[in-house]
Amino acid sequence: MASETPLNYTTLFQRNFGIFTAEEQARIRKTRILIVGDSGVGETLATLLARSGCERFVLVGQDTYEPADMNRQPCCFTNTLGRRKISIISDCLKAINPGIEVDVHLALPEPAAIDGLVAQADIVIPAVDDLAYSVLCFRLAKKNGKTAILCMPSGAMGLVSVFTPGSSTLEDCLGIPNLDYEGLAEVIRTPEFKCAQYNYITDGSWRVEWYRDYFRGKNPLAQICAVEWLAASLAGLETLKVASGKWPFTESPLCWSIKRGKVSNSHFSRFIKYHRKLGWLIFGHPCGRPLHRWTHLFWRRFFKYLQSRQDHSG
Amino acid sequence: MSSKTWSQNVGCGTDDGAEGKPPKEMKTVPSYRDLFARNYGIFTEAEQERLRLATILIVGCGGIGGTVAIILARSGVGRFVLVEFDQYETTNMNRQVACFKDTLGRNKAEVIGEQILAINPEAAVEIHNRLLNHDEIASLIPSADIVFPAADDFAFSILIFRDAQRLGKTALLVVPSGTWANVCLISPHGPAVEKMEGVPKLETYEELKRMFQTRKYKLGTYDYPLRADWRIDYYRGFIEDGLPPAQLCPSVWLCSSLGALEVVKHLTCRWAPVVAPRYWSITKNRIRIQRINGLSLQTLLIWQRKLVWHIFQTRLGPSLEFLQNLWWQLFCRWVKYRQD
Repeated sequence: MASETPLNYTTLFQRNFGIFTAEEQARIRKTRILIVGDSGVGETLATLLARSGCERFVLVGQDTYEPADMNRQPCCFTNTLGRRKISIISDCLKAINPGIEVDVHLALPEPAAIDGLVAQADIVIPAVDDLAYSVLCFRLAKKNGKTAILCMPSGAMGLVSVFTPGSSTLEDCLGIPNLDYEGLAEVIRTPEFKCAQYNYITDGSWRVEWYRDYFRGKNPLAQICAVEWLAASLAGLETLKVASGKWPFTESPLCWSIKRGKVSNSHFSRFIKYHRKLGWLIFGHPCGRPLHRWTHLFWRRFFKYLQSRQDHSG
Repeated sequence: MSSKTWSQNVGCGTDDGAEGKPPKEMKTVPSYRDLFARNYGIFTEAEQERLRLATILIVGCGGIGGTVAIILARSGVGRFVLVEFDQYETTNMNRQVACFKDTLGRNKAEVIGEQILAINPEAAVEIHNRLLNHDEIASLIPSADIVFPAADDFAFSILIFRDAQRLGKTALLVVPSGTWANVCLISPHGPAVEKMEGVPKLETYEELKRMFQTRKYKLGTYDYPLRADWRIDYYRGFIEDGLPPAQLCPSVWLCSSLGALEVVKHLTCRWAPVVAPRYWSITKNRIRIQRINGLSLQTLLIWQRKLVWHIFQTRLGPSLEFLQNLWWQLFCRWVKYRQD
């Protein structure tokens, strides 16, 4: 069936031309998109952008499909389990539009090597589970004068925003300490930093038991399909805004924010930002280390309160 | 990898095995608990169980219907009744979730059904791959928990909404157009769908269908080039030559995921869903909850569509039509000027 009629670009994307002019669609078509990481967001965005008419992709990722990916990743099916994500996605993109060129990298490059990939791309989408690596991608994008798109869903919350070389940085918006990659990777693993992610419970509707195990490194991030696809669609819309040049985009520190299943146009939370910054100022210093014992007392009380609140509402 | 077609990859074709060495996991199908493990970070066992036992009736498996079906399958919903007579065409590629080079020409409900089973082998999928009439659809409604009328033909959907309301079932409304969309749940006790979109009260399907096709009614969608970012040339083609509606993948998936989220909210009772008279109003720059008859452009449109249609039915009709055509010419010129 498919081989009889050649799939030409204008027929495939006929409905897009009701919105974009030929020139804008051509811009979308030749935008080179780098997606780093093979989390659900990266994959959903890749298929979404392929269906919007983007034709040049660079995909980086090293994982294989696991049963737990089934609850959100668009190319995860019972018979793709155990296979390389990136090669399946690249097949999927070509089945959407045979004209798509995919440059596949089957391993996450060393922090130094990713620079080259960022330099060649037009839009960078960091979609790695590792926050430190994402921060690195945003920094490199800024250094190379590229636009990067943040899409960060977690449970029933999500943040989507566009970072241009001129806008405020991700570290500034999220209150992440200004350290190099190795330093940051270490800080993110500490329980003190994880405590400051309590908004996963308050905004993301995480169950406290799950958070406790996440905190101890036993559980991965909680994700649900509808919110993740919602965040990915918003990020896809922002990508098209940037690529087509037709509309102004949601530039940081403005963002799309999803909280407890509700979407709004918002601003990165200043409370969380200053909370984390202040925390780092006090506890990040070697002299602050002994104080950690006292904060643990606070967190224990706080999580007990959250637990009782959950039990009450349940 | 390239020797295999995409549909074989996703379980819509023959068995795997020729491809390299199939990993261990493929032999034994993972359990429901393993597949939806990450959901339990948000939902309790009881809430997830409610999803697993829920039945969704989807009439029309195109852009929104197909996407909602897949998202709900990935959320762990266990039973689906899919109704769709149509096949995948090339122009569906820009937004429909299961449209691929090698599913072109196949029935949409069958392809979506196969994908659902490849996601959750325990799911129960009932497929109706022909055009059903309203009585046949009404007979499917009582066994469903949520009804999602997602047919291209809005007149057809309206009658399903009425049946759902009559039979005491909650229905999902998703209306996308260009970069604009409306999403909400229609409860059996709340306002009817006609009130949401400003459809005049007409009894039968034929009357509704005829009205939607008239030029004077279609001109009531003049918000498409203003709010939904349609190009005016294309909009003219839509009004005058019957071009299909302009659609964009991120916007279609955006309203579909929001719709699916509302269904998940309703089924799990975890968060309060947005039920009519409240609704999600989505544009490219803003997403917010509005209320029927609240202060908004939508309210103006709804009342205009309802009132003007009735005035058109009186003796004033012909002269009004003349004025409307005059207005249309000016409107096109103004929007064209604005867009250039």
